Amino acid sequence: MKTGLSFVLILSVAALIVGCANLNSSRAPGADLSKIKTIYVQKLAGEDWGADKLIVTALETRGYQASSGISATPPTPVDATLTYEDKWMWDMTMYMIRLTIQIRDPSSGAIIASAESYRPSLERKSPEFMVNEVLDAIFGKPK
Amino acid sequence: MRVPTLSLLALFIAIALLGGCATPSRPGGMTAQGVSVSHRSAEALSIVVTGGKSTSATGMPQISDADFREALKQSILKAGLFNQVVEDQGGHYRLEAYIGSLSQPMFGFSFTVEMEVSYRLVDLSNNSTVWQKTIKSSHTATTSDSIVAVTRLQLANEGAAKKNIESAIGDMDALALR
Repeated sequence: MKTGLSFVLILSVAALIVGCANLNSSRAPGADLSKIKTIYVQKLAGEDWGADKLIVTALETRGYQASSGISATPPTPVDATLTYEDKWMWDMTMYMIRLTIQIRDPSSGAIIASAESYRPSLERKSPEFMVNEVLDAIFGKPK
Repeated sequence: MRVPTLSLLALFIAIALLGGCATPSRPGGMTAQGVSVSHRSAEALSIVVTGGKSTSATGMPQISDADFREALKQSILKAGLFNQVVEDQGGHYRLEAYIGSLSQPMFGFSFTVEMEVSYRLVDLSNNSTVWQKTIKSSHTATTSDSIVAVTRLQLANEGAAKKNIESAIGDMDALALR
């Protein structure tokens, strides 16, 4: 029974973990990201490898004033909040297969922009690379 | 040595049979059925959807702008919330829907998809926002829904979208639009 369950699990993984690397982004109608100067990164509950710190550093490189924390509400007023979701896989070593970042209106919580990078095993990159490519897709490459 | 080889062969055959190709979420599967409204607007509505994705190289079923728009349109017409949904940018009202997030699992037996859509209803006669809300919904599809992983994920997508649309219709109904 246990072997059967493992078999189905392998099939499910194999059926889904296919395809090529993919990067996509979108913006809500009328969203103006040029006014954003300060961003609060809401740390994902249970995430313990430091994604929030990596994102804060990448934002600061782009000239934003960034901070992070567990709380859903920023401790000080900001122009935008950032939420993220990372998915990891194992193939000889652990690697990040998908990273999604959302930029939200701090008052309503509504998503105003979003981007996602999907990189299966053969096209894997470091978390730093994926954070930067997703932020580039949202804000454009830093000048 | 023989057993692992046979097992590997069986695994590849099973993947080929059960894996299947990812197909987009269908408008029919996302359309809200049997939603009753207490207010029916005699005005025409236009719908603009953004933020959706085409089912592409990732091999994961997605929800496209066109398919979500069609599901919204059919749901609104079935409920009778608006008298007409026009194809162009006209109408008295315009409903904007931005699919901000479609969070999907990578593997598992039960697939739970979480969806977040930001809606804005605009009165085009004076360009004012009548209603604005971000609606979160989720749906779980299990192996009893489908043994095929990509189909299970497609069903979870469709269920989350249907619940999201039902919620949006309920909220717009409460506006008591004429």
